[in-house]
Amino acid sequence: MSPMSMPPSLTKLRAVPCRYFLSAGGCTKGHACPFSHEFTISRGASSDASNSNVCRFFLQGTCAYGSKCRYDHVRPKRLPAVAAPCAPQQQNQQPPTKSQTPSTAPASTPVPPPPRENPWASRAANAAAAAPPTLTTAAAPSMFDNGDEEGDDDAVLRRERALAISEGVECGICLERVLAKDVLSERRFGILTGCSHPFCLMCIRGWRGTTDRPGADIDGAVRACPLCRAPSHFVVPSTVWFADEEDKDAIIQRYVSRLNNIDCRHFNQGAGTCPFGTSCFYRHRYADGTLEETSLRKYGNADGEVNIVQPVRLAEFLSRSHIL
Amino acid sequence: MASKRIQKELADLQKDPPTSCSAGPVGDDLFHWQATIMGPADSPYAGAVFFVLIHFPPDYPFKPPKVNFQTKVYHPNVNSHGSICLDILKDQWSPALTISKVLLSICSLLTDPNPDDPLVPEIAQLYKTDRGRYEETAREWARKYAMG
Repeated sequence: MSPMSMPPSLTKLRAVPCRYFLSAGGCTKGHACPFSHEFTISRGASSDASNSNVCRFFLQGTCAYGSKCRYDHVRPKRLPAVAAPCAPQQQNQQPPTKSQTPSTAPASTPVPPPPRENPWASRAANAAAAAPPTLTTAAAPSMFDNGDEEGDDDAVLRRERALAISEGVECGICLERVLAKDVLSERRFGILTGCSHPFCLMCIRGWRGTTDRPGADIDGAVRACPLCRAPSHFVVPSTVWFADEEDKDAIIQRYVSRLNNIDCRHFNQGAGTCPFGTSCFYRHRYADGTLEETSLRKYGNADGEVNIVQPVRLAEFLSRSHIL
Repeated sequence: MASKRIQKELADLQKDPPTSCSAGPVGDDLFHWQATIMGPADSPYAGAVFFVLIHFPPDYPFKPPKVNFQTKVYHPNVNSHGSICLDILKDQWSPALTISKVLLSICSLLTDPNPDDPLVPEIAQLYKTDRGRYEETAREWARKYAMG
């Protein structure tokens, strides 16, 4: 939809960045969304928290989700002066326009993919233009790095290498280049734990969701890599592809540790039951702050194999006794 | 997603056509294709040309395409309606497979039938017990239905 064909009220919305587009889940409306799906909208003097994954309700002190919120509950440090571009703590490798201190960008913030035109050159362009804080400058540095690695030459080199590799990577399902997809929010990789074949997050999640297909081989085909059939237990979203196993492990580790800071909604502070049990990536924490302690009951069978006893539920016992 | 992927496959097929088969849409409907498969030289179907109909589901490639022979074939894994018993078209389907790969798999099925998972048990039985007579019948059917 071009801005020309829209009613004036909608045209105004075009200037407002879409809140969901920049979140971890992306905007489900895609092209139909009336809000802006661009990274380079100038935010002027607005708070840098709005550029990141920080929960705006937390900042107002009223987030109803508390520790279960999918957004980051951190208070960004205010910059000392408006003349942020010259702030002394900037690293030599970073663009001078970057107005965020490293600590304001949470290490594991999922960040949208690079902007549309020649994403790899964008940082250089940012460095040249003395622009106010933009979404691009906020997004680029935290895309690949842990905050504490910033400024480290090796980390910068690794990031550059990963970005260069990511550019040409094709999805094995839609057969398109992932970072060249039409919808910006679809430009994300889904990393499989079992092998190193690349897919878009949307494609691989779509395939793994086809378990209801009649006659589908769940373990042998649906939960396996479409290319090599190596089984994977989960898919890790990432905005860059990895150069080697070390990078891959780092991406997976960052994803898992980020989820481990969010309370599990199934466990619900001990009031509910999580179907994933000890395998759950989210935090199982009681209302008093103590973590769930799991003591698995194990037994060995005649062949020397160790099995784990599942917790017995009354409903299962009753249904079994009914059959017998 | 589906039509974009089908268009991409069509472009790839036209750019780099496989040696023993060809495929393309019937009329304007992108989800309805016809393909031809040449009988492999090292099989009783040598010299024959088989017509195959392909229907793409709306959620392709997450579901397999429906592939049917239009030409009569004497084969343990193809029945009289042209249905094909091939694992990658059923439970072993993968979204990374393309029509070109599927047609190639059908070619190798023609060369190497799978009598242990037959669609026509009589032909499978004959294939196992009297290979010569199976090949003779297959050649005769190919001459009768798939040549000229």
